[in-house]
Amino acid sequence: MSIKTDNNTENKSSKETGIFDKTKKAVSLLVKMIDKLAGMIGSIGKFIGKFIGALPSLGKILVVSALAGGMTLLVKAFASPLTIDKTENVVSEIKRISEFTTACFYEEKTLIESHYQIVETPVYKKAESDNKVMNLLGIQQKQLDSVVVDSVLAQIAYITHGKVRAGYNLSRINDDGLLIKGDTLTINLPDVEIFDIIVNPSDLEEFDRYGEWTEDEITVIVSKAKEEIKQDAIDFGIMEKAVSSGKEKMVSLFKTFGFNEVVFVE
Amino acid sequence: MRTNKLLMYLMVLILATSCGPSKEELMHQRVQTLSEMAELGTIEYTIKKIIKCNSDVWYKYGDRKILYSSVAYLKAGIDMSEFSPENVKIDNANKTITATFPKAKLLSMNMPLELIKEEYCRVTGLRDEFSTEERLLLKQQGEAAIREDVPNLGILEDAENSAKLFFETMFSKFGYDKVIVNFENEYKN
Repeated sequence: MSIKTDNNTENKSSKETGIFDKTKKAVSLLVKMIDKLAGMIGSIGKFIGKFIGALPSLGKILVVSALAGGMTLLVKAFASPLTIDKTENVVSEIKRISEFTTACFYEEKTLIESHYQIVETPVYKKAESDNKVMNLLGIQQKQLDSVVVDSVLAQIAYITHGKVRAGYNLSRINDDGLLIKGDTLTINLPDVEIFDIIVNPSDLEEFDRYGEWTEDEITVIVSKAKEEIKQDAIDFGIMEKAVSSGKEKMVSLFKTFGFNEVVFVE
Repeated sequence: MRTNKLLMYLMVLILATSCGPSKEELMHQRVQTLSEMAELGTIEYTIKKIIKCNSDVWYKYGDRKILYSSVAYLKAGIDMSEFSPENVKIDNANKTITATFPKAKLLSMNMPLELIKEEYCRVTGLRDEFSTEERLLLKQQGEAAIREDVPNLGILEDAENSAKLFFETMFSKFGYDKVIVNFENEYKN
């Protein structure tokens, strides 16, 4: 029994020695590789150093700037773009509508807003510390002396693409609104209305910005722009266009559906 | 003499490089168009979406997280400008009408900026705050994600069902006893 135990111990120790040797070899190989890599980097560094050293001062500045720019570009190239995570689109409401859109106004406009914002800059004075060691070492503490209040101009410029859709809400035509006499159809039309003023996030482009702007401030600017786009659409004649185009389209449609004459009552 | 010439060249150079539109000019630049259309919107979906971004990059210490809640209104229906009179067959003797309409499509999407609310934002380590440009980019991606999902939402099928009901009711009012409403085969986005 004791001999068996010895054999086992011998086997175990030989196995352990094998593993130890392998690990030792692997580590030494790794160290050699790191050493070679460091050597390579060192020689590249030396070469760059010599190259830069041989250049005149303006050349040195240019090469160092090019290297820094190259590094920045490299980091940017490998940087992943800002993307959103996948989330569900939840349908919260379904509504039956009968909107006959007959005119659409499109506007591309620039929004430029500016305001003065208050910037508070603290001014510190040097003060002696209670800590004697710090004082001996010449390390002084900062103490708030005053706050300089200044106003700085903040400006933002956006390019927006807005859309206004108008037409007839056919659900407003009640049973008495349709009168059929032979092949003549008489329709009591409601007033045309604006259905949507659309400025989606994809309709916005930040052209320029300086100074601090909060998201709420930008939302207010866009809301104001939407109102302006709506007014521009009205001034441009969207309502009149919706009426003329709507009537023309309806006459042609109802004639296709078997009527010879279509009369509109407003 | 030489100094004067040099100054003149400098002036020409400044004038040549400063011919872009000023901000005042930009403010008054606008493109406006008004077009006719014939779109029958038959269904409106209200979509709620969470827009979230976890901007974690290996080369910067810290992370940035932001979460928005948003609402979008989608309207779908039939573009009647694509409807041809040849697609209507009327049998006056049997008071029957058969009409084939174009397939339903998404007519409008409205994702108001006022309804996109920041619910959570955290920036740690050496990371910069989300800029207004980045925030806009995230919202644009949220909008694009809703658009991409339109074929899976069922809005186009609902728009057709609603349009069918609309035309059946209308044709019945016009005095037709039998109404057959069909749609073309392909959906258009």
